[in-house]
Amino acid sequence: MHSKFLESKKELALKLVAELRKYFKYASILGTDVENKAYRVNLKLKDISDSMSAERGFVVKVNNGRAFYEYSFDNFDDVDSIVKIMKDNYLNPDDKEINALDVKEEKLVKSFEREGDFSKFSEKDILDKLDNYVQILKVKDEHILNSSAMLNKLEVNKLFVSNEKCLDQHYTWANAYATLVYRDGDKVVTPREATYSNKIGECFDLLDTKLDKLVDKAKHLVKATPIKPGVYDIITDPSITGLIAHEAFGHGVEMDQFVKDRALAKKYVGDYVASPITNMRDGASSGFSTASYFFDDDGVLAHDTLVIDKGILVQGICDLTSSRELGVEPTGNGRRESYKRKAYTRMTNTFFEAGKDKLEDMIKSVKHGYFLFETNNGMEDPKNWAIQCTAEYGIEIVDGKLTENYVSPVVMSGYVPDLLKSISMISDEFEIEGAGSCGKGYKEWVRVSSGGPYLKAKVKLS
Amino acid sequence: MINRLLNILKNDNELSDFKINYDETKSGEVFYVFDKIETIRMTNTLTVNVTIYIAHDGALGMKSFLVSSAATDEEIKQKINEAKIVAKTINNEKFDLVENIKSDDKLDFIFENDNLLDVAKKVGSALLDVKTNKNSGINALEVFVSNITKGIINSKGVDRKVHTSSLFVEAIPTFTKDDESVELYESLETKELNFDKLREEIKEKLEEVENRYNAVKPLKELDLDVALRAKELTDLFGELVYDYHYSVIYSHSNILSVGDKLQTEPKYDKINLTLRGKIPGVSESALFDSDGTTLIDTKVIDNGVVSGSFGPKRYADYLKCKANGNLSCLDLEKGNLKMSSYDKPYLEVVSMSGLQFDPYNDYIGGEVRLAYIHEGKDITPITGISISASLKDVLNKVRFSAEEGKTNAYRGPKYALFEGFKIN
Repeated sequence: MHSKFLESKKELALKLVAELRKYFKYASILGTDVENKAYRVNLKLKDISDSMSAERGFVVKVNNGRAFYEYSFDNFDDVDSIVKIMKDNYLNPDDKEINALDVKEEKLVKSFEREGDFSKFSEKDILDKLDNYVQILKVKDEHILNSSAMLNKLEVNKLFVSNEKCLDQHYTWANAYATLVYRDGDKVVTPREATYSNKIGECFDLLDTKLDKLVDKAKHLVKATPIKPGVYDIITDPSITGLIAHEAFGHGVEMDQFVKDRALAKKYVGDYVASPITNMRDGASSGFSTASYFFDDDGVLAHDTLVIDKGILVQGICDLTSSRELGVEPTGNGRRESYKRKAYTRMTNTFFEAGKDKLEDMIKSVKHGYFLFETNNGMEDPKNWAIQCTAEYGIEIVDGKLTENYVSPVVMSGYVPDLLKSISMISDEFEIEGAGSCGKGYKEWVRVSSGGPYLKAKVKLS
Repeated sequence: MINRLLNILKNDNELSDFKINYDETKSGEVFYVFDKIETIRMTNTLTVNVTIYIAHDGALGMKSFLVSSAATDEEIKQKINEAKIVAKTINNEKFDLVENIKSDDKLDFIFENDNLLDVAKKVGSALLDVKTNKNSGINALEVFVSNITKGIINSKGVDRKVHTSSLFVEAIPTFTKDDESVELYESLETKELNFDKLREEIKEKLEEVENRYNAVKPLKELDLDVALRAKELTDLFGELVYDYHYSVIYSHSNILSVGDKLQTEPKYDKINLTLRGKIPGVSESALFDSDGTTLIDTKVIDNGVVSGSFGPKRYADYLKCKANGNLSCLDLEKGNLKMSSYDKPYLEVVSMSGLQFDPYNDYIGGEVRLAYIHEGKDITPITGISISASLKDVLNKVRFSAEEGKTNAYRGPKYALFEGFKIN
């Protein structure tokens, strides 16, 4: 195990679960030791800090066929005090609780490892590289007020012990960003470019190629105008495609929402919900990106879940607790914001599969519409199957050609099945963006990726 | 653990200064599926963040890092040594730390002697008992009851802590009829435990979700003034005032400066907004920021003109301004418009997917899940629309209600009525 801290607690964790098993049918403990550093450089400042998503602690989870009980804490040096807390505070028999099916596990003892290249870069190397970006950018245009570059470095160590399992995992992920503050007259814009990989070297290599694009984007965005609201043909870049997959569909098939009758999608399993040329997946092992792990926070191994198959909704994604209420298998999507928070059904890497069309043909097919770029944010409404997504900007397409007319920001909204059934072309190019985060409602933030091919669809824009 | 850490830092002669921020949280949490408990949780956690400073070559190097409460002395020393190496490569402009303030206060420490799980269950039961009709209910409910101690210690004689409590509720009111179902999202964060007020809030949401069920998409385009509620006003003015934060000004990212007009041609009410450290009942209330700066109330918008800026000590020193702290509570002056007796037609936005706001592009808007068209005494619920506008334009044409509203970070008009929104 990479984490000496978790290694030092492993025997105690095994002992704790064994002791808890005397009182509970199911017991588990998750230990986390996550480092998350943010490096920021701009023309005036340099900074390195631990992100608040860095964590080190434990969460114990038990069950006796009714509700689940959890206790989160930073550290433990004995078993008895934790067992006492669990026994003393376990549910009052007078409480009205759910009935949960037994947790079924297969015996598995395994260590998982995915190497990165973090050890090849010192703090100074990273700061120097970021400073280099800042210096290069500042002289590219007189309108640049400030340039900044950032690297976010994530290193995850987790230990999971339960009735039948003893698992540990170690993996890394990095995101690099360059941003500008660009002013022309009284208008200021702050465009960005991002790269992502499990390796810092790859992040930087990719960012090297994006600096001119960043400046060009600023020049166009500063002249962007609001869009005239209406229903339009759109072409989505992979990040917007991913945003649609995530907001329109991903949240709608989180099965902890099925339990609460919060997901309209529940009624449509087995039905057409999208164009027949559409396939969508989610899973920590579906693609390789920021949410690619080996087991989830309930110790369930990573899955590759086919959610939509040729337009038909085939299944949702599920955490352990919800799976015991619904009587289905969990899919490795039980994720916590940190050991301090509950696990919910969360997306991981969510994307539409590639199709067969060429992007240039897709653009040529649009008489009047917009090519939408860059996820800003999105909001789910799984109950009513509505969607609201914001793209940073769009480029107007007229008579099959891209114009110089940029619009920003662009809000897409509407009814999900209408949007998905309007998909008429899907490109053969494909990309997953590994720099996102997702909340449940307005809290419980986890890292996610989303993406896919370019799509042609029809949607309301404002 | 803090004392161990403090000792190690004090004895490190290479450090010019240091700062420790800590947050100790104990909570009781209950999660319901319909009216049944699905999960109960307890937490007992300590988060410690250390910042070290090293003056070198006429500049100031610094690095922040988290220290686990489980860290040994050797681990702490190793982290400090790594941080020192990094700090020596950073050449930031110098600034002074806050000095010589000691305090140990309670701020709305309402659960000091309570069993937090019991309180959470009582709140859950009280809210699940609220009934309006057989078709309305709460499908999902989460209750978080916390006692929090936040503190800051630095090498310049600051040792401040505050003990406070917090109640956070997330509820999903749902209306189901004839095999169709709609929901709304509701969250409450407060430092008051007022069961009547909580029940009233949930009752209102259960009535609103029934209205969402009955709401229809308007057949024709609407041309109405738009009223936003306190929640959206919190988002709007919270985003606006960020432009006046010292760090934004320092990095030249601000759109407006002190003296600039936020409202260039105000047609109705002028905006008067003060940022405060604390407002009674508002959960973002605090006594000091993470540097230990005592929060000083600051008027940032005076009759539509940017009149002040705010921020922590570091950026205050850089800009040669007074450090008034990272203020979080918005206090917006009310107007005279009595919405209860306003008789012209208007659209009241009840629930949005999320207010979208882009000051750089002069944009405000978003998708509306539920709104009411008010026409005299008639109220028609509608859904499936979106609103959008030029931010500058609508700020020039706003009227504030006489009725007061509060959220987790705001006190001010319960409604603001705007001209100039497009409704699609």
